[in-house]
This record gives sequence, structure tokens and C-alpha cells, in this order.
Amino acid sequence: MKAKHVPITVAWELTLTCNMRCMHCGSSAGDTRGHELTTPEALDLCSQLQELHTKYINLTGGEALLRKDWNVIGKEIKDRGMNVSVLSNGLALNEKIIAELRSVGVYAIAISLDGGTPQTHDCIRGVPGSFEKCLQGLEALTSEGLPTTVITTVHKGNIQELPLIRDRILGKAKAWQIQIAVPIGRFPKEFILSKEEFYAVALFIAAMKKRYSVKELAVMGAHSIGYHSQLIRNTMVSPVWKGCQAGISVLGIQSNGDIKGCLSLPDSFIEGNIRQRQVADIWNDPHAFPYSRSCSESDLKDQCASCRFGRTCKGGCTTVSASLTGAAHNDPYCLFCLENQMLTHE
Amino acid sequence: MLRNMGQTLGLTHTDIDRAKRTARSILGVTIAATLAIIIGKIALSQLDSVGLYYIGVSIKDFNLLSRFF
Repeated sequence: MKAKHVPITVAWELTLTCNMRCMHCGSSAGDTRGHELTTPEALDLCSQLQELHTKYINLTGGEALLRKDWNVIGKEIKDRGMNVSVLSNGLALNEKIIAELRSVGVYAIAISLDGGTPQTHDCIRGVPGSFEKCLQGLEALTSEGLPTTVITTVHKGNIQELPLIRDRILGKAKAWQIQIAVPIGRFPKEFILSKEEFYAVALFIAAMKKRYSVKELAVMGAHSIGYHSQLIRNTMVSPVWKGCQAGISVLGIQSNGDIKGCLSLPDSFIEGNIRQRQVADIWNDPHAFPYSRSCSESDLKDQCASCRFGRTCKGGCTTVSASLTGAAHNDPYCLFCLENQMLTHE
Repeated sequence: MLRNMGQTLGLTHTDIDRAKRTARSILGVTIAATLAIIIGKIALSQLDSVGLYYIGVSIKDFNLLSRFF
């Protein structure tokens, strides 16, 4: 029997250990999480994901590269015919790790850059000198011919530096992923973008997508930026927003084996642990991921309840909605909704 | 209104005009979305989970899809 849902993309937190203390970190990374998976458990997990027909695995953290066996796990993923990418803050990059990234055969290495100046980036990341280290790492990766993406998480502390960041990475990165910080983990609520600032970021992404060809710099809005605008061009990778994919085509794995529909979701969304049940059992459980799989129009709240896109949109990004409103299916950071509000006020 | 917002992030009037939806961009998105759905549906029925790959979003899709809109 064909599976109704397949975890095409998996975000796997290899470790919660981190060498930075970023103000916006959603998982409050720093110290190692209790009871993280052992190497044999991680390798077995690779086998289980292959059986579930996973195509892409993104190794993240904490800082994924601080886990000593990250390359062993990465190689196992590749050997099992799945694609592997790595998300790093760039601080641990050195010649040895770059050689290992090449040896593993990652299809992308994503580096976080949150400021266009050392002051801003270092302040956000909590490590003096990390800006220079990050840019050096980016150049080293590019010179080695590794496909590099830069990820910028935007909030009130760095929104004004988007043009500066762009100028820094042009010619160095292949792609630029822009996402907004949401109040989970240790991110202070007062730093979240206003709705007008959020809309300006979406406008910036749409403009940059038009200004630069994909070969020059592929700009994309991630996760929750962009659905159903009536005024500006698409800001996402996909041409259509088909609702939150957590538990539909996306799976999140914490370093202790806890399973969530999306790694960004709060711990209240944990569905089980791979030490108690096989991943397939959790994924194929008919009662799992109800916020995503069983969402109906009657679940939509507030402005989403009467929206004409509600049935397919399902109220936007579950993480943003839950962190800002306390409930899913009610994402207030929606371009369609904001445009309606702005036009009403004019 | 869009110009005021855009100027706060260093966008020129040309950038902002180009960022707006046009009949051509709407048509492009419609074609791209239709193709993605058709390919996905066909592949889903014939190739099981591979079909979902075409519907799913990944960085590897980006080079293809970005040219349409």
C-alpha cells in the first residue's frame, strides 16, 4: 500500500552542543542535550529514514560540526542514496572539516550570517570575531567549489543590514535564505519584526529575486514568508503555498531521538522517541501530526477562518502561529492578510 | 506605500516596480504551479513516493522553479 505521507525532507539536530549563544536560537542551544543518540543509534536511524523514502536530510544543531561523528553519519546517509546538507554557524570550519564536507559529498552547506557588520553579527551570535570567521569560512568553502547557502534570520536587531549582508555575500554564496525570528527558545519577544517590517522584508526578497539571476544569487524566503500576496511576486522557493508541511513531507528529529513534524516547533509537538518506537511507527501512526494531517476549515482561527485560501493554506506556518498566538492555524504574519489590513486603513 | 517600505531597506523605485506582480508573473506562476502539480500527480500515481519529491520543496528545485516567476 502506498504511504499517504512521506518525510521527503528531514531536519536532524545532531547535537544541541553549540559554540555560540545566538539571541534568536529557537532551541536555546549551548550545552549538550541529555541522552543524545549514540553513533550506532544514529546509523540505524539512517537506515530507518531510507526505508521511509526520505530524499533530503539536513544536519543541524546546536552546531552539527561539533559532533565528532558527523561525517560518519553524513557518509552513511549518502551511501544509502539520500542527499545530505549541513547547517553550520561557520565558527568550527577549518581545512580538515572542509575536506570532510567534500569527502561526504554534501549537496549544500549553509552558513548563518546575521549582520552586515562585525558589531551586529557578533552581538547577535554572542561571540566576538565570529563575523570575520564566518566570512573566511564562506570564502574557503566557495574556493573549494562547495555549494554554499547563507541563511539570515531577521529581527529588529538586523533588518536594516539586509542590503549590507547582500553586498557581503554576492559572488561568494550560491543562495541566500532569509527567514524571520519567532519568539521561541531564547529569542526576546520585543525583537520580533512588526507586521510592516515583515512586509518590507518580503518586498526586499521579491525585489532581490528579480534583481539577481539564479546564477548570481538565488534569493529565497523560508518557512513563513510569502503566502498569497496580491501585490508582490512570489518570495518562496515553491510557486504555491500548500500549507504547513510538518508531518506531511517534513520531519524533525532532536538529538535525543524525539520526533516532531518540524524541528522549529515547540516541544509540546513531540510525537514520540525513536528509542521507544521505530520512526516508521511514529510517522505512520494515524493519530500523529493531527495539527497538519487532520486540519479542516473548522480548525482555522481569527482572520484565517474567513479567508478564501484557508482550505489549502491551513492558517500558515504552525511554528509562527503557535509561538505568536498560542494556537496553530492562525499565522498573523501573512502577506494576504496584511495587504487587506493595509488597504482597509488607506 | 510600497515605496516607503522598500526605501527603508535600500530598494530603488525600479526594484520596487519589478517586485510587483504583473499579468506576466501571475501567468508564469500559474504555469509553473500547474506543471508541478501535473508532474507530481503523474509521478505520485506511478512512482509512489517519488511523486511527492516533485511536490515537495527543496533547494534542488529552486534552479528550475525560479525561472518561471
